[in-house]
Parts: sequence; C-alpha cells; structure tokens
Amino acid sequence: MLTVEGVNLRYGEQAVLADIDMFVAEGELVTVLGPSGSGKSSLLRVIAGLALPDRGRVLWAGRDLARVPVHERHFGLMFQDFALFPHRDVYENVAFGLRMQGADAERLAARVAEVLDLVGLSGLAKRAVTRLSGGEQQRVALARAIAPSPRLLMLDEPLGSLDRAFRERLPLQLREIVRAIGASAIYVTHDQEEALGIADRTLILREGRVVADAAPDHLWAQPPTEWVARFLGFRNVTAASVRSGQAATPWGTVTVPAAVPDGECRLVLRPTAFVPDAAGEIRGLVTARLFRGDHVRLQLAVESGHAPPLEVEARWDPLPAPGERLTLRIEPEGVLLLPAGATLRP
Amino acid sequence: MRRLATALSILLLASCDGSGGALQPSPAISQPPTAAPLRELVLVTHDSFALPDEAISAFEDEQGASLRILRSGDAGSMVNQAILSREHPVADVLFGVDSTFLSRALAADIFLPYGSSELSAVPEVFQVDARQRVTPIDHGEVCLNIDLEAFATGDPPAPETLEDLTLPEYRGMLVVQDPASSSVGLAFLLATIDRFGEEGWREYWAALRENDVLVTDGWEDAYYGRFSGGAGEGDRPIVVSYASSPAAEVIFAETSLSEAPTAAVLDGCYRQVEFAGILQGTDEPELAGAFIDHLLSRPVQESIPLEMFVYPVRGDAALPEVFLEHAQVVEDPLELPMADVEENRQRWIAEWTQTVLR
Amino acid sequence: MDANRPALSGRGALLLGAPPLLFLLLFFAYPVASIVGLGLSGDTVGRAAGILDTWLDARTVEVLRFTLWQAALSTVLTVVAALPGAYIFARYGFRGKRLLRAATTVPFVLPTVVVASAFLALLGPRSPLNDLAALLGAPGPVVRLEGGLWAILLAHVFYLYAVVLRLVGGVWSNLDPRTEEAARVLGATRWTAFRQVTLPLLWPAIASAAAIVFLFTFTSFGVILLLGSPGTATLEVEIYRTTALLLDLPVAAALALLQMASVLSLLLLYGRLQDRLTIEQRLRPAADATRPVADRGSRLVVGATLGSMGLLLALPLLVLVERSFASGDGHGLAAYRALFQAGGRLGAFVPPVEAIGNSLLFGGLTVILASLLGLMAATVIAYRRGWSSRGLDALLMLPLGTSAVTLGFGFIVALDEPPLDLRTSPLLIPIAHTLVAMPFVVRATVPLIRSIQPRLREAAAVLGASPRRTWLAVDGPVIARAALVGGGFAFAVSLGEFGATLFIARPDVPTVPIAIFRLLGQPGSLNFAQAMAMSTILMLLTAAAVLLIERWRGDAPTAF
Repeated sequence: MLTVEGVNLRYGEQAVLADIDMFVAEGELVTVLGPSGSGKSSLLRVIAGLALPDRGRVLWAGRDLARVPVHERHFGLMFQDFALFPHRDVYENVAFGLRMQGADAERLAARVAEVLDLVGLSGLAKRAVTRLSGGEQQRVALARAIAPSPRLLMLDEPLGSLDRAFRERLPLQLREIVRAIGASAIYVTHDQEEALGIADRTLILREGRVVADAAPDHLWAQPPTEWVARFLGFRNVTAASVRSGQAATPWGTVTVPAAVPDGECRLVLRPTAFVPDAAGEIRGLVTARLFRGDHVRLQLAVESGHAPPLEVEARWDPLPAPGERLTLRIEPEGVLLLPAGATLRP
Repeated sequence: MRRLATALSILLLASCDGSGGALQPSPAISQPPTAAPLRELVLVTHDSFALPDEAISAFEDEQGASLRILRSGDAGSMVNQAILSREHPVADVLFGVDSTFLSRALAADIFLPYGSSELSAVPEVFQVDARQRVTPIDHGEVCLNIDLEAFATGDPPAPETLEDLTLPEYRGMLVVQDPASSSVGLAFLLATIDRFGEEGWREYWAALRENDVLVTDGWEDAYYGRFSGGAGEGDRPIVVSYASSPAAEVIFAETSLSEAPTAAVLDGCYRQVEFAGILQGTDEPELAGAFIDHLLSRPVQESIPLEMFVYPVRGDAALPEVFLEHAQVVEDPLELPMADVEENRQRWIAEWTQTVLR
Repeated sequence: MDANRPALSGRGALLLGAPPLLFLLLFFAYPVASIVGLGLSGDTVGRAAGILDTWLDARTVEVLRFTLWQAALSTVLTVVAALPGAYIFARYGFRGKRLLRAATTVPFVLPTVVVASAFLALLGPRSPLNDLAALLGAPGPVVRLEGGLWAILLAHVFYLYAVVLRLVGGVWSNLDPRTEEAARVLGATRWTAFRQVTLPLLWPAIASAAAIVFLFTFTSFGVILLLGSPGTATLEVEIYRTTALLLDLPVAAALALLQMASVLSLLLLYGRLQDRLTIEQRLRPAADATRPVADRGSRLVVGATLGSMGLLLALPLLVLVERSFASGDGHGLAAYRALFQAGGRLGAFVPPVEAIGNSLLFGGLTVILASLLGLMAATVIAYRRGWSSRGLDALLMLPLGTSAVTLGFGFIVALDEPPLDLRTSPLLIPIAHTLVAMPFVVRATVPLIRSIQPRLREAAAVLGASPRRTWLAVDGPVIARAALVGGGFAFAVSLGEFGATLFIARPDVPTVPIAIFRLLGQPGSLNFAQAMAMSTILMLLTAAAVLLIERWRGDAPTAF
C-alpha cells in the first residue's frame, strides 16, 4: 500500500505538484487522469524516486521512502515511449531487472519465458527491439517492467503512441495482466475513457493538484466540480433558477429531479437524456452533426435568447440531419446538479 | 554578398600602402616628393647583422641608392632559403654565410663571382674561394664562455679545456646550439671533431649528453635565454659563444665595468670567417659590388667589432680599445679544411643528432 | 522523387568541374608526384638511401613511435578531460549554456601558432606563474618548458576539447534519458545504469571523436615546433627540419611519403570504425533531456566541471592577452606600439604590422579563389549523381588529409621550373591556402544545397516559376548563404595557416603566423611581448571571422 502525503514539487519557479495526497491499496488499480502539464508524469517520478519532492513524503506500508534510492524501491515503471534499451534484444531487455536482482540463469530464463508468454510475445525473444512494431514494443516494455515482480507497477501513458485500434482492447488486457501478477498499479493517462474504463479508483489532477478522487461510477454520477465535469466531457453546463421542480435554463424550462432544491444553481444537461417530444420545452435548429455509427452528435441552436449551442446525442430513428428543426424534452435523470460553490474555478 | 565584396575591396585598398604591394618584386619605399626615383639595393642577412647608421647613410648618399635589409633568421636557414629561392632571389647581395655553411652555398651555385678592389688589404688566409664567389668580411672565434660569478668560489674551478666539460662537477652547466640550425653550434661541433678526431668525437658528445647538456635552436636563445652570465637570463654558466662576447658584455653593461663578467675558454676555439656574396639573378650587380667594397672599406671594417663583435679581416683595420682590453686573443684556433667540411658536414650533423638528441 | 531536382547537364558539369580539378592537379597532384619522384631517386650526400632505407632508419622509427605515442596520450587525455563537460552539457540546462558551447569552439578554430603562443605564455620561462612564484619567494622559475611533453599535451587538449564536447555531447543530449531511468527503476545503481545502458550507446561517438583527435594530434605541427625542444620531433617537424635546416630533400621526401601513407591508413581505419558502430537510436530533441541545476549535488558537479573547463580553455588565452601588455616592467601598450616600428638595432626590418596587412590581403585572395573554385565544385557535387560527383568530392578532400608541411614541401620541390615557376612568388601563399580552404567551402555548401526540400521547388513551379526562376528563387539564397559561410571559413583558415606557409613565405612578405614565429625566436622581453600582441590580434581576427560564420550559418545543418 502506497501513501503519498502532502507532496510538493517545484521545477524552477513553477509548482508542478501541490499538496498531493494519495493512497493506493494492495491490489488496487488507480488511474490518474489530467490534461497535459497537470503533473501526472512528475507524480510517477516522485513515487519512483527519480525526483525528490520539495515537501511531503512517500510511504510504502507505512515506511518513509525518503532514504530509499531508486534502484531499491522495487517498483515497476513503464515509460511513455517505452524507453527500451536499443542495443539489446527483447530477451535482454526483459531480463534486465532480474539480472539486477542477481537471479541465477535458470530462474531468469524461466521467468522471462513466463512473462513473455503473459504479454503474448513468446517467440520474439531474440528480436532486436528496433525492429518491433509499436504494439510489440509496448508489450516488451510492459514485460520488462513486470518481470522482476514489482510490488507496485506504474504505467505512464502506456497507450500514448499507439493507433486507435489498440486503444480499445489494450486497457482491458493491461488490467488482466496487472491482476494476474497481483501488484498494485497506478495508470496515468490524459484520455478519460481509458482512465474511467478500467480503474478501481480515479484521481484527477489539475495544475498539480488533486481535484477528484473517487470510483469511476461515482465520478460519472456526481462530478465534484464544474471543471471536472467539463473535463470528463460533460456538455451543456449552465446556470439555472429552480422553482418547484422546474429550472429555467437558457435553452428553455426543464424538469429537475426531486432532490434539487429551489434557488440558483448550476446544472448539467446530459446530451444522452434528450428525447423528441412535440410538447417539449426545447426547440432548436440542427447546425452541426457528427455521425457516430449508431448515433449522432448534434449541435442545436436553440431559439430562445442568446443561448450557447446545445449538445444532443440522438439515437432515435430516423437520425436527425442538419437544418432540421427539433422539439425536445429532457428526462429528469439526465439533469445533474453540480455541488454548491462548484463554479469553474474551485 | 555585397557586404563581403565591399569589405574585401576595403581590405585590398588598405593593404596597398607604400610599403605593401606584396605582389611586386621590388616594392618602392616612400620617397621625398622632389627627388628622382632612387635605386634600391636589397641585402639579405641573418638576425645578428648590424652596421652603424653612418656607415649605411654614407653608402646610400655616395651611391644615390637606398639600402633595404631583410633579416632571414639564423645563418643556416638564411642560406637554405637563398638556395631554395635561387631562381628568384629575394635580394641582391647576401651577407652572413660563414665558413661552416659556405660549402653548401657554393655547391648550390647561388653567387655571382666578384673580385673586390679592397681585397688587397685582406690577408690570404681569409680568401678561401679561388673563384671569388664570396668575399670575406669578418672573422670570429667560437669559444666556450663562462659566467665568472658562478665559478668565483673555485668549487668547482672554472673549466679550462674541452675535456673538462665531461667531468661530473660540471654536470648540467653547459648549453650548446643545434649544429643543424646554428652556425655557432656547427662551429663548436667541428671544433670537437678536429680535437677528438673521427674516432673520438662521438664518445665525447655521448659523455656531454650524460652530463646533461642542453641544446637550443640558436645562439640568441642559448646566450640570452639559458646562459647565466652577463646579460643572460638563464641558469647555466657555460655557453658556446664568441671570444669577443666578454667585450660585448662590458660595452653593453648598464653600469660601467672594469672587468668583464664573463670570460672565454681559450681551449677548443674554432675560427669562423663570415662572407658576403652577390646573388645570381640580381638586377643591380654593380651596386651590389659597390656595397661589398663598402663593407671592406677601412672605416666600415673598423666599426665592425663594436657592432657585431667579430674581428675585421682587413689587415690594417685598428681594433677599438675595449676589444684590446677585454676580448681575449685566440692564439691557435681549430679549423677544419673546407673540403673536409663540405664532404662530411651532412653526415656529421646527422650522427650528432643521433648521438645527442635521440 | 528527383523529378524536381535541377540536374546539371554533362557539359555543364564538365565546365564547372574543370577549373577546380585543374587547380587540384596543378597544385596538389603535381607536387605530391614530385615528392614521390624525389623520394624514389634518393641519392643523398653521404648516404645511399632509398625510401625504405629512410623508413627503416632507427631515427625515423623513433620519430614515428614518438608521433604515435604523443598522439595516443593526447587522445586519451582529451577524451577523459572532455567527458564531464559533455555530460553536463547533455543533461543539465543552465544560463549561458549556448554561449558557453560556442565559446568552447574558439580554441579549435584558433591558429596553431596562437595556441602555441598561449601555452608558451602560460608555461614558458616568461609565465606570470613564475612572476607569482617570485613574489611568493620561490628561488627560481617554477615553469620552464624544458622539453617535457606536458606543455604539448595540454595544448592538444585545449585545442581539441571542443571536438569531443560537441560530438559526444551532441549524441548524449539526444539519448533518451528515460532509458537510463528505466534501468535505475529496474534496480541498477546510477553507475551501473550509465555503464550498461548509456555508455554502449555513446561508444560510437566517443570512438569517432577519439579518431578525429588522434588524426589532428598525429599531424600536429605548430604546437610541437614551438613548444618542443630540438629533441622532440614528430614526423611533421622532422620533415620541416630536414628541409629547412638540413636541406636534405630526398630524405624529407621519403618522410613526407611516410606521413601521407600513415594518414591514409588512419583515415581508412576511421572509415571502417564508423561503419561498424552505428546503432539505430530514437532521437529526441535535446530540450527534453535536460534538467535544471537544482540540488547541491548537481551544483557541485556542474560547478566543478565548468570551473575546470574555464581553467583549461580560458586561462591560456587570458594569459596570452595579459602577456601582450607586460613588457619590461609593468604593463602598458609598449608591445603594441613596437609593432609599428621596424625592429632590430638597424632600421628596415619589416614592421610586424605589415604582416597583418599581408595576412588580410592573402586572406581576401584566398576567399575569392576558394569560394569561386569551391562553389563550382560544390555545384557539380550537389547537382549530379554518380561517380563524377563522388569522385570530385573525394579528390577535394585529399589536401585536407595531406599535412600542410607536406604541401609546402611539395611546392618547394615541384614548382621551380617554368611555366609553374612560383616557388618564391608571394602568389603561392593564397594558392596554398586555397588548397586547404576549398574543402571547407564545399563541405559548407553541399549539405545546404542537398537539404533544400523538393517541395519548395514544387511549390514554386506550381505558382508559375520556370525552372531557371525556380532555381534562382529557391536554391539561390541557400547557395549565397553557403558561400558566405564557406568564405568565412576560407578566411579563417588562411589567417591561421602556418605549416605550408613556413616553407614558402619570403622574408619580405611574412604573414602573421610567420611573424609570430620569427618574433618568438628572438630574445628579449619586448620581442616576446610583440609575439604575444600579434597572437592576440590574430586571435581576435579569427574570432571575428568565426562569429560572422556562426551568424550567417544560423541553425542550418553542415557537416560540422
């Protein structure tokens, strides 16, 4: 179990990490999500010992790691861009950590074979790493990181340089492998689909601070701040006045869930919750359409007032087309109340 | 591109001042505006050449010419340059080839024979070339010089012979010049060859090497840089120099001295005669001849000791007082026949280099 | 793919390629052939010697051994000295880094005479160290320069530091630092990670740099001539001494052939080495890999390295400048004033300042000649493919591989009969300089031309430009800029050329390096100070030329 306590890191004048608190339980897979420049990679470097924090501590099983050098921490780190040893072949790359541990030849060979099998690369042991495809290199990097049986595995944007096709399947495979070796894992990415997809818990970093820390479904159901909501891809965020279960929004009046009190608040209208209804309060013109196979993403220019475009995800048949006029209503479950005081700048 | 062109033209213009014109064979020196164009005589010589200003202006006025002096390093490299530039000589007359390098110069046939009218006053012994390709001007004896102050205590006593230099009490005290580049150095080598013969001179030099002898490229470096006596700024009290060097010390001393601070070791001195010659290919053979006559004229010969610290060849030239007082007379200098030197010089230098420097 | 690359017609190539080729034939091939002829004839006074005899002579063997030995020592010392510098430049970012990197290149472009003068000033009998020691009560001079190898080795390290720094540092800064970090996370200590991961990737660069350093020190001339004693002789110095002092031309010829053969073998070895040691690397831009000098450990490392760099590279030059102001007692401008006067107790010695004028003039002529011929050759090389271009390229590089001393010697031996009776003509100097400078012009121009993107030409064509207009608009500016850079190099090379010039300069037309050499051979503190003053001036002129080159070059790629 990893504990990060009050870690601060500065890079010259700039604060890279500010008051980071974090906990990873045994066997847990925690994803760290954030835009580029939010300090995700730096956090991993601090945990690995490659960078020393200006303030704060990193503890493993309650023991402060301040005096433990990088090569003794027994963590695994899979780098963005993989950082394979170009002058060694696949086998030597994977075997490196075991050699550092002083494993004997037999055990080494067995373990390397085992790990290569786990990642699906048995048979490529003698290949030069410079002659591997992107996906193969990624798996070698993973194999190398897990071969020495680290107690904590850290993955820095592991899918960063791969084609879209891989991004769908690989996160799942990664999670299976991590479970199989029984380590805790920290998975860093800027892609929110990846982050929420496989995590036990997700941390969101913004400009070096933790702004969210919850299980993915909780995050999705109730984003803690408006920024997080927008970052997670929520659209149609607006200020509104609620009175007796009805909210006045720039796009029209909507029915809010029962729990929402009267007064000023900020609401999120989920694009997926709109349905066509001739009696609906929301009327608009389709100005843009993005075809997505079984649904379309629409931008609606609403008639009333100077409202921003409304984003609607339409799955109904026939799929709407640009220039069409739509009359819609939104299901109350699709109306999300943002916590009080949760304006854009927390 | 335009910037570069402008810069270049400025550069070209700037260097074409009166004394520039590196591309013209006989550059004109700036002249007084009213005079007719002067004839010019170019003299090439070594770095130790010196004449009093009156002697030069006397020649220039008398001949209606101007004298331009080129210094070409040490005597050896000067002769080599003259040989290499035989087709396009750098000067009209050359001064400073001495008896040790003479054979090389004569073999290369760079001189125009000239019989000076003043030769009647010069003893036969100095007129070594029957074909009169070169004219003797002065002579000097190359001797060891010692710093008297260093030996004042008597322990060790001042060395008196060549053989003394191999003794352990004189270890690390001697500085000599490389005979390949220095005529003084070559003269000393020839002295040892004359003294110890073909069989013994190498052993002698091997012993000197054992005794930590220092070799320099030229006389200037050895005397001023490494010698400790008189005007020298070094730390070795024995140097190969001239018999007249102690007199020079007295003359150039900052305070007046009654005694010279250095002395010449009279054993093992080698006679060196210095010659002048007209270079083949000159445009001014008559002017060059007149200059050689001028060098042999009595007033100029008598000025030589105080300027270059060697002796005039002219029999009737009087020596200055300070020379008679402080410069030692060498009774019986060593001197090898010119034919021997001509035949063996190359080999001797090579063997010396092998024995002492390798 | 090459459809839009302007091609040079066969006739055009012939027209343009002929002048440089002719130049090479007359002033390189012919002298070299003369050397071979002279060496083969071999009848020397007092010794029957064929080339082999000279080569196998004990003295020659000793000279060759010494040459190799001092070159090897110099190489090892330079690499060891410069590796820390390469490290901090590759891995740290600090203020003034770019300026510092440019500054370390200055010693490399300095003329060898200036380098030798600087070390004479620092380690010779007139060193300020001796003055300091005297002040502190020492009995005698502390540094004397009496034939030890140290001054030469230090001068070599000073001169070639930048080569290792740039080559190794450049590759190092492009190495992904995460590879080393991955090793550390996997359990390797810092040192093990360096040894097992970084060093293997660095070896090709280190070997390349070491080979270049070895080549330069093997052919080092000015430094050894001025800092050594009559006993220290490398091949080059021996060739010079045999010619200028002993006038034993056949032996000198045999030595020159040995020199050429040695350099050729070294170059071939170097080529083989290059091929064997390339590993594909993922290059990342250098900015990512550096970190600021934050903690105390880093500060110590960076500070110590920068300090020793300053000591090694800046101190000799500072001492050089300081000694130019110190003549007799106290400091002043006496030496500089004396430059305008004729020296000696008699008038009419060529005033040193004239040498400056001569050097500038020769420099200008060299720029014109080298740029003209070099551009012609570069055009053929860049715009034609196949053996004609490669052959010309290789031929042009040959004079660089031949030592300057051999070139000068070749001139003396070959050019003494009409119509090429130029042996003592001052014109020979810019010709010799052009031979050495032309390769630089070509090396500066060709990569620039080759780097012109075909897309630019395509765009111009689509926009309506005829092939000729296209060439003018797209290639023209690049070639013009390359010409400036090449011209700058030619000027700097000409200013500092010493080895060949020493052979062919006339006493009435000295260049600055020759004047410095002569002044250093004269006794007295004023002459020494004048030599220092001339060296300082030469240093400033060279630095100015180099700064201009850097300005005009910008960030364009060249071969160095």
